[in-house]
Amino acid sequence: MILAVILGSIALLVVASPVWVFLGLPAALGTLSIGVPGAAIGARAIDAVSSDTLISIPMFLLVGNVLISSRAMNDLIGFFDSLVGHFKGGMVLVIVTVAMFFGGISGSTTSEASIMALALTGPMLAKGYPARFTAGLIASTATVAILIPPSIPMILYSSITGTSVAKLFIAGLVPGIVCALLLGLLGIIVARRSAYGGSRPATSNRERLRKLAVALPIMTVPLFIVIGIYGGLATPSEIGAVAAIVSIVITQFIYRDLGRERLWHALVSTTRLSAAVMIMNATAQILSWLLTYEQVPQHLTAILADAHLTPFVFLIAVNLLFLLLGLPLDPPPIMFMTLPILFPLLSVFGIDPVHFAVLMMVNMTIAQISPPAGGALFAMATVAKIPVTDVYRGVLPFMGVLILALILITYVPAISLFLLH
Amino acid sequence: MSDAFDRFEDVVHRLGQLALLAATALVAYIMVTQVFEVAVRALGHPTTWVYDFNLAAIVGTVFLGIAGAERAGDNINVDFFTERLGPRANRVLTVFNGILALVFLAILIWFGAAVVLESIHHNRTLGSLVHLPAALPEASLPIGGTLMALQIIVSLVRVFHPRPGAADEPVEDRGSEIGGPGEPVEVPLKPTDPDA
Repeated sequence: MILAVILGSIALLVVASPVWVFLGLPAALGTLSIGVPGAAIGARAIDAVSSDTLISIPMFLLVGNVLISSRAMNDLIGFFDSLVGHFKGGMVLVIVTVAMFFGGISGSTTSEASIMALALTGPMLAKGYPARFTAGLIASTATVAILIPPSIPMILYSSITGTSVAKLFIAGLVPGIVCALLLGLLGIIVARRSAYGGSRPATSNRERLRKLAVALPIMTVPLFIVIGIYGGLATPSEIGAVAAIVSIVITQFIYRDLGRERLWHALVSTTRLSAAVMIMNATAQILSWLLTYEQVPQHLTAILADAHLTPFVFLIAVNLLFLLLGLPLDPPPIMFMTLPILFPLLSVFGIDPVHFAVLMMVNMTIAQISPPAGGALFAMATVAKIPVTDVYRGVLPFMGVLILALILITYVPAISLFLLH
Repeated sequence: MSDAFDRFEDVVHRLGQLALLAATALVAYIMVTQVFEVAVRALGHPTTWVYDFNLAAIVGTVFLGIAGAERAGDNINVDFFTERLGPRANRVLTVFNGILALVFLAILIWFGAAVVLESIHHNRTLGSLVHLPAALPEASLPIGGTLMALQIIVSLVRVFHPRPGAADEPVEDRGSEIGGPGEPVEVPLKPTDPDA
């Protein structure tokens, strides 16, 4: 029966059924077929979203939506550009730094790729960087957003597995910085060797200070989130709520460009998007419950224990599986499909669930820029109006760097875990 | 298509917007009360109700917001395998997937309602200090599910009978999601957004 449910889910995925349907419908039918009272289906769906962890999702989405609605992003770019934009290859640094800061606000890869493409493609091309390189750099740096707190996929991981979201956020910080640094390093080397981008006179210190003053309010938001979580000042959902209020205050009273209509739009958009994300969580829990009821993880654990796999081999297999799934799928479906099965196996191999979350996120970042279906690639091509084949080619070297980072993060758990200890 | 169906569609859209309005109000409520909780806790007087009410509110947010998400195309699918199909095949898949969604919603509505009735019958509460009836948040599943089903039915009919003078609003979505393709870029505000 469980095989029929899994095959049914895969068949529905292939015919482009909505994710909430392909995750839940075969599982619901399977649940009914084994004689479990149907009320269990309704109860699972309701229980799945009755979660303090999930409250973080609308809160952090609201932070992103409010700040994106204002000129804050442009001010941030302007400040970093004034710092390093005059160096040869300096725009690479601007992009990497902005990506890390904005990743700390939006928590969403595609959103960040779109915003960065909109704001930075023009200046990059104007400074002589070729479209292919520009597209590859922006798309790949934008993907680090899901490693840096607040990360919506991390919240989903926490909701599915019960791992502490605060620990996940803290663990993602250093790997996010490592990935961004590696991407930046490659970008600068390529830009300098190929003589991309001209130089311009350095901005005066007075002008830099002026730009810093303008950008300072927005810079406090991700800083506040990271300090709040790291310092254990409140729960992640409470920090999300405070960050949302702070964002509204900053854009309304400092930048003075939010307004009632934009705030309302940000709230409605946040609600819709939150509902769309969390309904997947609700229906995936029906599948997860059925897998547990049928003792699938236990059977798999027994098989793997008999196979005498080492953690090293298991992690290679998992990474290959994620990379393969990442070609056609996006992070949430991959997480909802694989975590109920893989998570119980971690204890067999003695793998830390937080470390596993981080390597899963790095896999997801690679999935986001994997041709042909990576979400960041389409966002980049659409917003920047660069042919998608150019984006594919441009992103390949950066993908190689991220795979290198993945190997590092997979086999050196300390990169993810040392901040926790 | 008849005027009666046009009116039915308008009613479905209004009900969906009303539910979305309620869900949005719940998001705002959660935000304000979470901050309130942080503040009063810092003053040494934590509340006994914020946590429980917010758990109920997040359930309402999800299920009351899904019809609006469906209409706006925020629910995602994976069209990697079908994007090269012709318009006719895509239309068939749209209808097929719409029917599957209706079947699943029927299951969720039916058994969601069963959970609500059982909670009312047994006077179940959220099991905490506030004694909020459990049926209140639970009712959002059958209500929101029904609104979403109506929205899908309208979209399915409009696949074959587009409303004259209106933009085509097929059931298939834009594939938007967190960290997924086509997530709506909210930078340029859309003045034509039906919910704005």
